[in-house]
Amino acid sequence: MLKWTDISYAYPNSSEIKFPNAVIENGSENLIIGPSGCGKSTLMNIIAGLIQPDRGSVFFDNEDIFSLNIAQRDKFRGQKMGIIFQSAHFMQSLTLKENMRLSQKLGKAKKGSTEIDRVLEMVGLEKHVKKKLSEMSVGEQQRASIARAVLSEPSVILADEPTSALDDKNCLSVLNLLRSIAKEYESSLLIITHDQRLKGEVESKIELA
Amino acid sequence: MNPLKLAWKNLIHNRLRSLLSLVLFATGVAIILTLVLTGEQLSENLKKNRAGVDMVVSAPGSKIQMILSSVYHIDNPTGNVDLDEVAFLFKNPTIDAYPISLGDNYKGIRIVGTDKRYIKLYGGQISKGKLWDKELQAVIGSEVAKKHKLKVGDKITGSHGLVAGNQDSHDEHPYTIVGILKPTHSVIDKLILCHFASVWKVHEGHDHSHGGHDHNHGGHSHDHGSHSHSDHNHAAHNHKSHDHQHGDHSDHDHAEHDHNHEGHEHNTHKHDDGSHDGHNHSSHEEDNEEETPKEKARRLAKEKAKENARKKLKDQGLKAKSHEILKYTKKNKSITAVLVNINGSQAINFLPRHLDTKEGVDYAMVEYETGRLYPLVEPGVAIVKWIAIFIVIISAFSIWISLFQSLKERKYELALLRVMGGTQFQLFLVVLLEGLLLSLLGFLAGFLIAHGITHYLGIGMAMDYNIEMTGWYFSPKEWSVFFGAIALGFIAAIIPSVLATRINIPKTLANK
Repeated sequence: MLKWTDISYAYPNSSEIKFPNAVIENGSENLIIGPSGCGKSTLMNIIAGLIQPDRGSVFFDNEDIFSLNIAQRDKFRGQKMGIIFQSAHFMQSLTLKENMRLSQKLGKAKKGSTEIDRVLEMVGLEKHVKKKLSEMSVGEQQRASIARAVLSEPSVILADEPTSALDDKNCLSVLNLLRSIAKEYESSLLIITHDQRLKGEVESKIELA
Repeated sequence: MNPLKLAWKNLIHNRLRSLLSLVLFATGVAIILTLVLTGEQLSENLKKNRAGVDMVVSAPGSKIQMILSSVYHIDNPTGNVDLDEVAFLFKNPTIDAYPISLGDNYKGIRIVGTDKRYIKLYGGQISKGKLWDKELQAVIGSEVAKKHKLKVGDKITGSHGLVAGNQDSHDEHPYTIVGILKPTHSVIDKLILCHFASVWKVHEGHDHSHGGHDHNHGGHSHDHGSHSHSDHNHAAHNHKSHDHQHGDHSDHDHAEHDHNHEGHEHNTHKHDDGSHDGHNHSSHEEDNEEETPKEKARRLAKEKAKENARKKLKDQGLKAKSHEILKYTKKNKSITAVLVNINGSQAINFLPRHLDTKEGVDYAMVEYETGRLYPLVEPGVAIVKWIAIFIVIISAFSIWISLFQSLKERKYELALLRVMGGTQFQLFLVVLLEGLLLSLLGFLAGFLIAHGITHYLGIGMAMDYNIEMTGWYFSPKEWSVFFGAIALGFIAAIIPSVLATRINIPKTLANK
């Protein structure tokens, strides 16, 4: 279970942003929605332990992640969270499969190489294992980043604006892929977006103003 | 995550940039290591080939040439010396003297007339056959046997001169190979050795200096001393009853050697010896009416000094040596040079002064003369070394720039690594290992190039300079260069590595 309480954060020369408290149950689907500039990405970075909030706490299975030192937090994130960015980032010097393997190793995943093949098949990239990411389309890269997020066998999948740049058809397709893959790995799904199309698709919502 | 694998993959990914740093680094390392490898082997070779020889006594000429020709067997000799003039060297009990007679070659390999002790001087041992026991028998060095596929029992014919190609060969006096030496990794591996009398035998009847026959030894001529002077036949002289004409024998040193005047008495014969300076016949009166008082005083002082020297030797219980070559004195024989090992004795004090008084004889102190060469060579070597160090430093800069550039381009990847669970230390390691890998690979490439160049140079040196040099030689100094190279790689990579740990992840990923 993931929960955060009384979180606030102020960028230099900006006013403080206060975030509503929330509890994310294991295996649940959640949406953090709000307009651009409301602090969605800031909240995601705080939940992921990448930014230390000015106040408040983030608990992961009752463990305050900010009580950990930086190195412990990095490892914790790698093992417990799968993060999907709006733009896909990969190691350019590695092939698709090597990128997947790197995620597994950093996340200390228990499953091995065959799991990579299985997940890549799930996202339809089984024929691209030896390709460098620069040789793949943006859509393929997006699917690859979804695959990578689950290969560390995380408790929570954090997806930052996964559908914003997609048309309706592909928006729904990516959402379904995220759902199925989260279900497969029994992970909680937390989508952070301003995409109003998802509002009606996900039941549990945290709205930021 | 394996940081080494990741660093390697990244180097491969940026192969052109990596290659530039690598080539620069390897070039610098290769130059430094080549200087180390060639310098050490050259110095070791010179030391080994010198074999403790302190002095070379030969005909007047370039002192370096005397050393190069008679010790290292590289250059041509300065000429020959009259055996009688240098015989005293073979008698002195405090020094070791080795005769060297040059003049002929077999397919470019020098035939050296000497005695068996010369082989021992280089630690030579017989591998097959035996040492010579008479004239016209030869013992060959291991490399000679290998190169020309010679074996015991084979006959070889020498040609005039010290370089191959001379058609004037001694077909009537072939040498029989009686022994092959074990490898010594010194100059004797590349020589054909024989009894010094063999050289005289081969040249019997060849009047090279008096018959107008010049030997082409690279531009100068010499005589082999096998020609006969009818007025020099001491063995047949009856000194009791005739006047002794010494011609140009200017310095018979009776204080330091025994005269072998077979059967004649000095106390009764009379010397007509106007130019016979220093002839100390202590028991008879010199017939020297033209001697001025000043000259007489000088002569007497010299005689006294020599008498003292003789006495000193006697006091020390040392007796004059009996060397085989002394049998050939007074027979108008000449040799190319005498190698002298002073053995740290007092002879160092009087030998040079004494040799200065000899006609047609000069000497070179090996350490002193070769020491004079270093200041000529050292600035050149130092310049090359500093250029190499400069190249290595430039290449370290190249690595530094390359890593900075790489850091700039890969900051998203590095941020991603942190998001996926990579620690700051792992990021530090990835970037640091890239720098270290570049310097390690640069060193390895430079190492291979340096050993390759040294090996190639060695082939040329062996053929032209009797110097053994190989690419399989490894110097402890290479470790210093290795650690220096790794340290440079480390220094070049440390700042980019630290910067890699300080990447602002959210900001970096948001700016993509």
